[in-house]
Amino acid sequence: MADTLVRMKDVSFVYHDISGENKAVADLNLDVKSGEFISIVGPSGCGKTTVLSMLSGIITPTSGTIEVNSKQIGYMLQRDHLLDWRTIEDNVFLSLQVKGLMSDETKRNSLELLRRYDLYSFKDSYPRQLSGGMRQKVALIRTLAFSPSLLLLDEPFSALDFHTRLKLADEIYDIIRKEKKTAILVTHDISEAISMSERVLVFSKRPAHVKSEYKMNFTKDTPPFMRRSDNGFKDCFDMIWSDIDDEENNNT
Amino acid sequence: MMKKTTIHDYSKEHIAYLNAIKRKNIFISCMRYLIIIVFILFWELSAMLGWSDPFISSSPSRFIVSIANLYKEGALFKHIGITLFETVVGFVVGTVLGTLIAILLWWSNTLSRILDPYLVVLNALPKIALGPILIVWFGAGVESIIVMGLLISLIVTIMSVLAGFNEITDEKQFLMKTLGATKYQILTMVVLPASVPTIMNALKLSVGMSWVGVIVGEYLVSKSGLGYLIVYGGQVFKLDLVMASIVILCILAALMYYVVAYFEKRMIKWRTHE
Ligand SMILES: Nc1ncnc2c1ncn2[C@@H]1O[C@H](COP(=O)(O)OP(=O)(O)O)[C@@H](O)[C@H]1O
Ligand SMILES: [Mg+2]
Repeated sequence: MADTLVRMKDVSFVYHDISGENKAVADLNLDVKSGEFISIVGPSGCGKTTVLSMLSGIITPTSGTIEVNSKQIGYMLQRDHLLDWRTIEDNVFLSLQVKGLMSDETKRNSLELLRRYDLYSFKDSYPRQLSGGMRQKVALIRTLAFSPSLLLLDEPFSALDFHTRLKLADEIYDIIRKEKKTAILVTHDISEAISMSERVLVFSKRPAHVKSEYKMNFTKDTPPFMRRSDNGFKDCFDMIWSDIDDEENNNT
Repeated sequence: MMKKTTIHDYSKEHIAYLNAIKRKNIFISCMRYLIIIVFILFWELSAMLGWSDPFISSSPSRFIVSIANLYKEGALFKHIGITLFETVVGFVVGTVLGTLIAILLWWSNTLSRILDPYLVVLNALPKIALGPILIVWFGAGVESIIVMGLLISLIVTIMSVLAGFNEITDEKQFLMKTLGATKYQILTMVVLPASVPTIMNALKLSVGMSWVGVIVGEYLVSKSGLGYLIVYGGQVFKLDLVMASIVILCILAALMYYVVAYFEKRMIKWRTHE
């Protein structure tokens, strides 16, 4: 229990709108250990973003309990949403400003992060001067600036081209490991899920619950890109693929 | 060390390309001047040669004399001053008030929904129709003219600034929410700075609207100002005076537009510290 960072128990969530009720999550159970990197895959519209929103506290579950033993939670979205009138440095400080955490120390830490991950020379540049991959890295550093121990990543690579996506996955994996964060990655890319995480959870169709779970046995310091050429990779891919395929085709 | 590309590094083709663009720009400028010169010459000539009746259509030399006369009487700058004052006040107050109201409507979705039909009707209504009411309420003087200018620019400002606010994606606001931002923080850190270009565009729209309001206001009530001169000139059949006032009005309106456009450029530069 001590090293369980996230525990969701029988969690359900219902959206209400004029056209009716929409159950997005049903009886979801999920544990994440401190320092773990897990991925969630599932049919689109099944409720993955809803689960992350509940974890971050933006919305509260309709029923069930959520425990998160992390003071700060970082949330990374598909798009970087850097503010184009702010410099890279000021974009990173945005999260500190919003949270009222601006101090010499937190500023120094953020600049140190920029330095460590090769973005320091761009600190006075504007977002439009950076490539998509670099911008997404800045978005990660903006998220790391306030030292969250839990990171929620909602399809952070899906707006990028294939080449950038593979490279950035390696870099971001590396950053998350070095900074010793716990991460939950939502993705629709099965290969990405397998290559980055220790566990892959397959969600059912809406309303989402955990349909199946796969444990990966890569060593922690194998970069995601190398894992793609591992022997077990293809089998794992096939299993998860057929799992999701079943889910998409099963119209009950 | 390599220096940054200088003109010498360009290929022949590229220099030819640049020259072609330059020539085109010069041609366009020349044509612009040519049109106005030909227009004025033709106007003057047709009056001189009796193709048109200068009593009805005036002529450049006659309205210049008319402007000179106004100047000699000391009335020129009085009229210009009054109209300019009314327009600037109507425009500034309309813009500030309009932006504040737009912020309020962005803040409260409920309020925005409640007031939506009223805004639509007010926007569709020709504000000029309110003239007689304004005169009764604010008196037949400068006040009702300013209110007229303000009213016309106000509604345009509210509508376009609010549309700009609503264009900011929900996802950007979602990001702010994941950071735990308050609504006030979302407003000041994202919505307002992101809307600077929209607000500036609204300014350019409403500066024209203020002129419309003020001139119409002057038609209705005033004893001075360019709008008054136009109406008065028309009534006593002094077409030279009417033309003179319209020409001055054109120049003022264009100048004011350029001031706003310059201000816009500065704001956008300041925003991105270019
Ligand atoms: N704000 C909302 N209001 C109503 N329904 C919503 C809202 N957000 C998402 N949904 C619905 O909930 C379901 C799950 O959405 P989401 O969690 O975004 O799925 P995913 O991230 O897995 O694609 C979808 O059917 C979606 O239409
Ligand atoms: Mg989603």
